[in-house]
Amino acid sequence: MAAVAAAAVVVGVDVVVAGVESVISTKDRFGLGWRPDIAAGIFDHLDCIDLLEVIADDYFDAPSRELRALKSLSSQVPVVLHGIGMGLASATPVANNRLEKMARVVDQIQPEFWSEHLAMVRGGGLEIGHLAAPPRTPATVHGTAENLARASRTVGSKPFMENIATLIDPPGSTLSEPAWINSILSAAECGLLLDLHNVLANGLNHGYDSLDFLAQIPATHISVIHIAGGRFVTASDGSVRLLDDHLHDVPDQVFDLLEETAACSPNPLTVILERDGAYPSAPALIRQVLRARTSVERGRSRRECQKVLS
Amino acid sequence: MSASAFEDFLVLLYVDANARARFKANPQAELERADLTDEERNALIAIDWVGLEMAARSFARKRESKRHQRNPSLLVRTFRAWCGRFGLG
Repeated sequence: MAAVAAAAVVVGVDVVVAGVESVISTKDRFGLGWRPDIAAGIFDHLDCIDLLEVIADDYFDAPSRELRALKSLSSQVPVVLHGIGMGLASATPVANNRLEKMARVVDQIQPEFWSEHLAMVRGGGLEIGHLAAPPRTPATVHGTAENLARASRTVGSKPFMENIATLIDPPGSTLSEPAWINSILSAAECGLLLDLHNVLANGLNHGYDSLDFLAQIPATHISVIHIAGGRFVTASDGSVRLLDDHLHDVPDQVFDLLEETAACSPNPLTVILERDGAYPSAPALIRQVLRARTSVERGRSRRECQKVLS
Repeated sequence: MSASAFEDFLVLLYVDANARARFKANPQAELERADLTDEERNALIAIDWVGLEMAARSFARKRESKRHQRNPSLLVRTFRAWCGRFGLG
C-alpha cells in the first residue's frame, strides 16, 4: 500500500519536527564525521560537504585553544556535535557533570544541533566502553525522558537521539524497538537521528525487516540520518551477525534504505557519513557522500513510500 | 531500584568475564545477590548467550582501543614531542 509523501520545501522558517522546534536546514544536506586522520582530505573537498559532525566528548576536557580551533573550523563549514558517552537511555539518572561538560562545548561552539545515543554506557560503577542497548521497558522510557529533560535544561537545547546497533537483543525487553523509540521521542519531545546501518544490523541480527521497522517510525520524527558500514562476524555457534564497526564502506542496502526514507520524509534531511578508521582515500569517502545525495534525490523524485506513513 | 539494578547486572555481564563464567555455571546463585524481580531474573536466565559473548568481546576491544589512545606508545609520544619542539602539528 503506497502513501504519498512530498519532499517539503519549507522556506525561511523553523521546521517543526514531531513537536520539537528546530532551526535546521530548509534543504537536504550531506556531510561527514570529522576525524583528524582525514582532515586534509576533508579540507580538499569542502565543496562537496555541507557540514561536519564532531565527537563532542573529544572536547569535554580540552583546553581553550582546542575549543578555539574547533570554533575556527565551524566558521569554515557548519559543525554539529555528537555525544557518545552520556548514557542517557537508562533508568539511572545521568551525572550532572557529564551534562555540564556538553553544555560547555555547546556554549562555545554554538552548533546547529547536538545529538546523543539511545544507549547505556555504564552501570554499577563499571564502564562498558561502548554503546549498549538497555532493556526496552517502560522504566527505561521514563528514565530516558527524565535524562533528556535534564539534558535540555542544562545544555539549553534538546539533542537528536540516535538508535543504536546491538549484537544482543537486550534481555528483559517488553517493547519492540520501534515502540520503545517512539515512546521516548514522544515523552521527551525530541527528534530521532536515524542510523540506517544500525537499522539494517538489528534487522539482520534479530530477525525483522528493515522496511517494516522504518514504517513504524513516524517520518515526521526524522530529520537527521547516519550512514555507515560494518562487517559480518561469526559467533561461537557458527551463526553470523552484522557488527556496526564504522570501518567499512556503506553497503548498498543502506543506500536503498536512505532512498526509501527520503521518499517518505516530509522534512529536509541532514545525512552524515560516519567512518572511524581503516580510511579509504578522500575521493572514495566523498564518493559515498555523493552517492547518499543521489539516493536522496532518487527518493524525493519518487514522491511515494512503499509503506504506509505512520 | 530494580530497573537500575537490572542494568547494573547486565553491565557486569558485559564487562566482567569472570562474572559471566560464574553466572553461566550457576545463574541462581549469582542472581540471589542482585535486587531483581522474578521477571528480571527469568529474563537473565533466558539470555542470548551467543549475543552476550559477541557483545562482550566487542566491548572489550573498544575498551582496549580507548586505553591505547589514552596511552600512546613511546614511539608516538617521542614523535609528538619532536613535533612540539620544532613547532610542528
